[in-house]
Amino acid sequence: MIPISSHKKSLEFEINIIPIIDALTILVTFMLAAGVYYSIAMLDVKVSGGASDTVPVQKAAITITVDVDETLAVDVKVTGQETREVRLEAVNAKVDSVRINQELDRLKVRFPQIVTTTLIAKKEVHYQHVVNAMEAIRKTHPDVLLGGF
Amino acid sequence: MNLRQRFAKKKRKRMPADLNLQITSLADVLMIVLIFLLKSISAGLTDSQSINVTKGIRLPGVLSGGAGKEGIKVEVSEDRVELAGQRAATLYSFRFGTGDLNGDLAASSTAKSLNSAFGAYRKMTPPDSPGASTIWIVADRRAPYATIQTVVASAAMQGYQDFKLAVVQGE
Repeated sequence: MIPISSHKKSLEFEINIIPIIDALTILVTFMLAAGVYYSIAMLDVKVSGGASDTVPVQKAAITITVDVDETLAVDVKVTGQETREVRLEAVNAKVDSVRINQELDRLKVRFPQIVTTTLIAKKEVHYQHVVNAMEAIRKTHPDVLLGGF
Repeated sequence: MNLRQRFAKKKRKRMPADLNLQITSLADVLMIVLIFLLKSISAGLTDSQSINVTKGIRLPGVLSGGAGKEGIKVEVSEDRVELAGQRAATLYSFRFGTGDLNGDLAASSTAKSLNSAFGAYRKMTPPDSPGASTIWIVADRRAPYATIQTVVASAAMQGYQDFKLAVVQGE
């Protein structure tokens, strides 16, 4: 009589996972190296005046214009029912976003229906500063028109 | 052999001759990291995240911004303006030629070149296709406003209505 155990094959086996680990490590390393770790966002703008002016022309209570000059000082001009001009000097070689925001916030309280602001910048102002001013404006007035054309 | 020596001998453990690393757990961790990386990369391939920004262009930074669905990419780098990957105008250190800026910009060769590029692209694109009237401005943060303004004005002249400025979020 042959013992049963001699015919029984072992069901236990081992997968050689070392090459799998090698491949995974290389894949992870390449993916980490190739990854883009910044997030691109978009700021909506429209053009003030010209053929593509998509903002309907209507009698607004006030018109707000934010003008950035070469020294990064900002002139906030209000015309219409309220006439006012405020000059906000640059802070640490940047446009003073905090004060722009404060100024526009004050106007927003008085004229909540106004959502549009025109942004003008002098020719040599760097795009980064224009975007900074735009970001400050958008906190209170979401429709920004690029002006000065 | 005193008591201390006998105790130390008893406490010493024998290490097995063949030391097997527990690499199954390592494989598990690597697999999870790989899945997360694949997920994050595939998530980044939609909408405005899929913009391929040319090396050398430093986008302006903002704290927060919106998203963009579809649009025509206009890239403003140090030496050129590209419309949908095709050179539309030449720049010199982010600026148009000085001859152009001194005179009437609308009548300058740069403006004519940009206008014809935008006009030709507009004719080529079906008006009802998604993003046909949206321009994505992918410009370097060091570019002067005059350059951006000229590009935007040229596009607006050809009937493009919506503009989206590409920025880096979180800076």
